[in-house]
Amino acid sequence: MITRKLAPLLVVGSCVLVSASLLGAPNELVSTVEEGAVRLELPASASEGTYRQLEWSDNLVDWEPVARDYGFAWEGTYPHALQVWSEGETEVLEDTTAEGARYYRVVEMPGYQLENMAAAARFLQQSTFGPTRELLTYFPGVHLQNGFNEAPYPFFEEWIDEQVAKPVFSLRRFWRERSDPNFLNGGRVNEVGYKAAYGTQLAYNRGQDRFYPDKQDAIDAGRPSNDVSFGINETKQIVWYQGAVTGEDALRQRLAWALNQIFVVGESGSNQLRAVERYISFYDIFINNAFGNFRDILGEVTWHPNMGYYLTYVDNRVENPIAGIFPDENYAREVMQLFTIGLWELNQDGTHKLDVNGESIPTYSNEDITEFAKVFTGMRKAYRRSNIEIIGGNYVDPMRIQVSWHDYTQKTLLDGTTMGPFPQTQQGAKDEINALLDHLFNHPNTAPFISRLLIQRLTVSNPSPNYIHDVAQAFIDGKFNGKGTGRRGDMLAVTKAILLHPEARETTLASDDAHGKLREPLVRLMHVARAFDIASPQTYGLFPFDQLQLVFSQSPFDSPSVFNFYLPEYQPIGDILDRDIYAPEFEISTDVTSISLANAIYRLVYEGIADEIGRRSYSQGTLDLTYQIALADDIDALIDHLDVMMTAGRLTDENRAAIAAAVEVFGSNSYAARLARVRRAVYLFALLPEFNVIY
Amino acid sequence: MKKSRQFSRREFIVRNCAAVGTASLFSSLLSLRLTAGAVSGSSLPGYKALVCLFLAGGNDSFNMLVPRQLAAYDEYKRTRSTLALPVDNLLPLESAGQPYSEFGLHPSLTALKSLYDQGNAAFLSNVGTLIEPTTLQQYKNKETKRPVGLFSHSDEQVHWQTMVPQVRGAGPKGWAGRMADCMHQANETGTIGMNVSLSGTNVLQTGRDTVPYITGTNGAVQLKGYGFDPALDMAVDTALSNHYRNLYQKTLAQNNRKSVDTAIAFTEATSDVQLTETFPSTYTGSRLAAIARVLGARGTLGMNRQIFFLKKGGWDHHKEVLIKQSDMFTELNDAIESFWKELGHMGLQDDVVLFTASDFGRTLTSNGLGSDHAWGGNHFVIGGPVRGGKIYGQYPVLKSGGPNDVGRGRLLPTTSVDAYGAEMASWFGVPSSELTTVFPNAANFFDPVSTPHPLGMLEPNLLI
Repeated sequence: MITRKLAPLLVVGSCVLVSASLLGAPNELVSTVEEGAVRLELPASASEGTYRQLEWSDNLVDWEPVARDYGFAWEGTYPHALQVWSEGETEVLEDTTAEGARYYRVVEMPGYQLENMAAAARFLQQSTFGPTRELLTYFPGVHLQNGFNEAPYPFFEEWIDEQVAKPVFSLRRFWRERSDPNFLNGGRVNEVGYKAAYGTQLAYNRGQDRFYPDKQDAIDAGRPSNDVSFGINETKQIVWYQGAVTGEDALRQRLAWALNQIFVVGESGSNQLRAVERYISFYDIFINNAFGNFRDILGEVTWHPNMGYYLTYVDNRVENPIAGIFPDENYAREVMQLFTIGLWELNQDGTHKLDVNGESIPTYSNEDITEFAKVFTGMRKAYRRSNIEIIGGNYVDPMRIQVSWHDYTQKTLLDGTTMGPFPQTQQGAKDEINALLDHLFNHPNTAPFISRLLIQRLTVSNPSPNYIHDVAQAFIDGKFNGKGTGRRGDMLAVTKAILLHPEARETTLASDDAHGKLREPLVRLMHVARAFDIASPQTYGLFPFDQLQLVFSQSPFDSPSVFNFYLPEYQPIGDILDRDIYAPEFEISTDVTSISLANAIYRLVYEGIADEIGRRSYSQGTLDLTYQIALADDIDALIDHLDVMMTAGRLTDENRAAIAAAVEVFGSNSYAARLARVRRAVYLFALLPEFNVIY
Repeated sequence: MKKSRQFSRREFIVRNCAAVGTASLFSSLLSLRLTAGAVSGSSLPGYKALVCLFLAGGNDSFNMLVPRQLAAYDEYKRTRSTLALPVDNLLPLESAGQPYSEFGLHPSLTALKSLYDQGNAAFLSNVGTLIEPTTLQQYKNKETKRPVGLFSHSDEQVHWQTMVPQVRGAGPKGWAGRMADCMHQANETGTIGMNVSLSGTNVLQTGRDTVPYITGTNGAVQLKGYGFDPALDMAVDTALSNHYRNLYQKTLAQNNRKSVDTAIAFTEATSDVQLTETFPSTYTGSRLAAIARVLGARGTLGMNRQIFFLKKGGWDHHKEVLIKQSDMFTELNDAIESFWKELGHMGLQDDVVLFTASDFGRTLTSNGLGSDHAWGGNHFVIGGPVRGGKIYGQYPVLKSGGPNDVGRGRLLPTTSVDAYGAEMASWFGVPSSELTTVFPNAANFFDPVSTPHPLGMLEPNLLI
């Protein structure tokens, strides 16, 4: 239980300062006012496991947190992002926003510790599609008595390093091995050949013809004959679910999903939904480069014809003044707004740079867009070839240059410098496009902009300026804790900086009520599938979840637009808006989707992958609850287990009691009764805010 | 090291009815209550509904409404180059009040043409987001304030919904949300809020204190297993009613509590509604059908004023505008035709107004097969209260380098979205004294008190 301790008022200057103390530790604030700015000397750092926050108020009634200390040092937090710095032994915060009197106080709360298993489960919620019993059992250091969750978190780094070495689940490889018998080993990345031993398990296109698995396989396996039949449009999703559920490279799979939500290609608007290789070769960019380099991702994305088609710059041509035709501006805009630098000039900590009037500064103008539109001209699909799926042309290999369609004039960059003119050759155009990508990659915004987006996907919705700064530093240095390639944009360094930052790891931050995030609906469903060892009775061992976007507005390859499923600045009304902080995932958490997600988990728990979450009325993927059923006659043991697997040790006493009462009614005398207990318990856990939110 | 003040969206605070705190706000609220008859505790009289059809992505609306007059068509054809529609395919329309009277509608929009000819539909030409009246000269010299993030989807979509385009983001809230905040007594006996969305969360319908009720094509979603077993119900109730300190947990629990409860009432009210028409099974068709079912349940739900939101995406036609737009217009046309007929069966044609919104118009000039992001565009309004058969606003000269061209055939709007919105809001029952609450920039364009219908496009509100 967390209680706020208050101490008497302290009057200094024009401000009334309130301090709080705990265990005799001095929490006094010293302030001075200078040029209208209030300078606060903050108390010395909190002892380990203690949380303190500085709050301000204009009326002594409504207090708002503005800075915090969770055992490392004081830091500013959003939305105000006030700066804190050290002057010798003393940490100082300056508040220039107070006009007239403002009151301050320090509030101290006890910390909150998690058992090792729960701490590991919490980490796996951030870094994978959800913990499994196997991942937890073999988690480095998890069985130690002491020091498991202590900075600099070496056991967690060890796990990350182990993950990097795991075999890669490539979507393209998985599909090619199991689809067109004509596929050969192609010598390009993941361009592997068909494996006769597997047979054709997945649908594919060859020219205008579509091919499906042989139903006889299902009949031979004693399954319904339509067990292997899926629409060709669903193929890419089925492959994705296989990676999310079974991939040993659990960290890589989750990172790819996060990156894919920055470089979005959605199905909406495409007329080639049946194409498979086109989409999964694009997705593999994120799989292959999850621990690689951001510049490689940006380059591969830009040259991939799937993006070229989606953002309409494939076949984009140099201006034709006679016909009055101009270059398409789509990619020039979105590559800046969404993929690299964003809209506003940023400091490394993600706060806005300001002009002399205190206003934010736009990163680019419409003139910059029309200028860069000229750069992305002359890009065309590569020539058709065999050994890949061809639908309407080659949408798999990097695009080529048509010299006569490229604009070779000199271009002006964002900083006013110029580039080119480049030689009027294919290489010249390639060099120009890549030079523009370098320009954006090296822009000071890119590190904090991308860092913040990835942090939001994995750990917290409102990273502090310190957190963004540190992740951006890893991006810039190409190193984390001295390790890494040393090249700007090293994604392994960025990943470690995100997952091993104290802001992601320290459980004391549970006392900050703005800490954490609402988890993505798709991640929550995958979590349940993984935590309870979903087994596939399907003929080929697939997990054919289907059309989940119709259930809870999120599914792979189905973002409604290039702006992803939700915006990074979404604010639901109520406390989150009042605090002026963000919660992107709430944009798709509605009266319909939020309840539908709970119902989807109900379906999965009671029937498996079927009906509205699958393609068939019978199960094509069923939770294996054997382990839980064995615990079910001891309700406390069952709930303790589920508290690790589903809520990472966050279960409240009230909800524990409520769930215990709700499952007790079944008794435990029969297998059926124990199964009923487990199913209801899992379903109720899935409804808990402790499951749906991670902090 | 000193750091200057951070920019905050809070610096721009839209005056808001519900945020009572100043005398003027209080009196605003009071005046609304008086007009609404809240003193006697009754709802607003009669029934009215607005349906916003948001064409997300930026409809290329200068291929929706096209000049047919010879010289103007030739200019159009020259400017649009590869994107020009053949004149013979256009559905002929006549309009007074423009430099010429002969216009043409996109050939897919046959039902819209009928409604226009019957006087139940009107167009508004070259409307877009503005902060203050702006001439081309003023734009070029940067003498007037201009919307932040012009020509960008994410910005302009939000601007159309907040009508506060000087601010980036959804901070100022949406104008239908502000209407619901102000007119919360409009549905004294209502089961749900004023705003209903068929397309999820949106800025338009989010106010300081109100959010849309979100429903799907199959109606409300009820929580599985809830309401059958007291043991389960008690656990669910505990989980959703506990006090959570964590703000995300707290928000989720509160939202889910409301969703679970409202779904039960909503389903009860709408389950008996039978539609007469068979709507097309398209995205738009199935959602207009769902709106019709809610309209049919208005009595059971206790509703007197409702605003519906339907967002149909896919209009960002940088490529293939001719082919794709034609198919999408067909979808709209067929869905609207069914909806209009259904309104007729329900006797609601004089009580429901459907209007379009979109991110922006698109460049008049071509990029080969498509067009790029621009600014002013054309829109239509349908309903009995529409003074139809006319194109309102100023149909622009479709010329590259023409009098409204800010570059590449991006047209400076000649009518502000504020005027467009005021037409709807005034008919709906927002008192003229409150128009600047709903549309904070309105007074830059017209006098909201003396001309609450600045375009004369809709009948005035007669239900007071």
